[in-house]
Amino acid sequence: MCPKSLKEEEQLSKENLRLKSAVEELSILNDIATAIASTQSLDQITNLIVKKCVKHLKSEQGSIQLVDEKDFINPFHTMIRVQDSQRKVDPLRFDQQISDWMLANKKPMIRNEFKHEEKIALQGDSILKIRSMLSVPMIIKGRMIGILTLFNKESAEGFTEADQRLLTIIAGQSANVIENSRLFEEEKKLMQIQQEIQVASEIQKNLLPQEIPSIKGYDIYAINIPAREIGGDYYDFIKISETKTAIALGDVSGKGLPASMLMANLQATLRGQLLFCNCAKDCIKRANNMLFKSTDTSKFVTLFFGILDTEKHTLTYCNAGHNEPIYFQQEQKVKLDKGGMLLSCFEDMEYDEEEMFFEKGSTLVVFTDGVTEAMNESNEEFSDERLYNLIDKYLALSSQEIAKEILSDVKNHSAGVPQFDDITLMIIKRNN
Amino acid sequence: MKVKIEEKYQAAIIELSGSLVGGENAELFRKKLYELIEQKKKNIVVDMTNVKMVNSTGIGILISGLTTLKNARGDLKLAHISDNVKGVLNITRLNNVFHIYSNVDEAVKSFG
Repeated sequence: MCPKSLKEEEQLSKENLRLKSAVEELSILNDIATAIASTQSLDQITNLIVKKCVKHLKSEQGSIQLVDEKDFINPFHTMIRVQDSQRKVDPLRFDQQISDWMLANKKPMIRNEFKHEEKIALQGDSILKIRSMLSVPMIIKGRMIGILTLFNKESAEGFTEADQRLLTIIAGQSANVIENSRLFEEEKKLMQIQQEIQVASEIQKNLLPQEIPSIKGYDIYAINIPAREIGGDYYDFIKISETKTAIALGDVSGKGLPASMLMANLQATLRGQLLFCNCAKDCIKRANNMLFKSTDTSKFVTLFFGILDTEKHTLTYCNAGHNEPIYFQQEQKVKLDKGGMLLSCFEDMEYDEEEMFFEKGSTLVVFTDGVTEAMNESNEEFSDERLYNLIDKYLALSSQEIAKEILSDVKNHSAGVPQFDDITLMIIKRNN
Repeated sequence: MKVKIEEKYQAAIIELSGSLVGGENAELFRKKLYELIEQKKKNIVVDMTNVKMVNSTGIGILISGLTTLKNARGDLKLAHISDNVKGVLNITRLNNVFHIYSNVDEAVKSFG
């Protein structure tokens, strides 16, 4: 055998070894990629990655810690610790120092020698000796999302550069998969919240009157257009007797879900009062005290409340801090301002009421500030005056038609500006 | 919205400029107001000279500030409110619970 061919053979066998290890690496990567592709939950994915790494890199234990960007005090959450199921050892606790080092340096770390005092504490009382450790950061676009660590290589030499290279590749690929899965789970949570809001919105819609009462001699219409899915405006018709109906229209402070909860409470409170008395100001006084007890002082309600007697043709109303409704009787306009303080902020308030005769052919318009304070592109409000003029102009129309004209003019006014506040409108006309 | 704090005689003055409507604006005001309350300040004047608009969230903060201070035997007084804000306070009847002054000096002096 010539020395040259011996050298060649040596080279060849080296090359073979290198190829063999490359094929092994590829098959490991392939194994992990295939396994991950069929799972979706974050727990399953992290669990799988650690398991495969422990197996393929022939180590005793492994862990993935994910960075929780919202948690500044304790940014690392150990997602998963997996040990080789062949062995009976307790899972290792990840050392705080390692995660601190990794957060600062963001590069792989191999340690194959540990001093006696550097043992890592175990969960529970026992301590397991660490012989070797390989830790790599999981990085996406320069942002570290976690750490992948293996402990105690089977072979005595410990973790090698090749191990580090392979684990770094795995960590890089896993980082994307884990991040995607994390985003997917966040999206799922968001979708669940949206579903709940949808249900809440349905509940609230059902709290508002499903139909407008038809009362002989009167033409009544009401409409509510929330700015968001859930609104804080309230209107109601509550039948007291054949000839008496309570009407209510209110605005709850704030917006969205919190406002809708207070609105539901307001309705229940108000309807409850009517079981005891039919006196507008007493209902309001009691409702105020009850709401005061169940809300903090930064939440409040403005409410117009009245009892319409369709036999005597009177409206006895109490206005608790609400935009003054306007009553049109031929050429006259009257603002309904008797009442008192807005509801739920101050206890034991006194309220006034006023009884007014509802003339034939007259019109009452009750509204929330979503109508009069609707903004245009130059931040100008729709204004009370514009509303009054509009009603004046269309007084001859039916209540529904008047409402339609108002809403369309508000829409014109605030064209190009998203609706900011809930809009609620109630129109009551006494026929001629 | 800008929030500026200064002290004059026995009162702390919160000078607001911008719109006192919901969201971050209102939250900043609420935070500053409650910081003063936590520092045991009892006499607070809110200078509303540069507040053109206020919505229910802003009003809610004023009310809760007022009630918190009243419970601590203090007061929250308003100075130099715009016609728009005055309109809101009149409709809601909050003009009956807030002491309103035409300028900061008068509001400060009223604490005696």
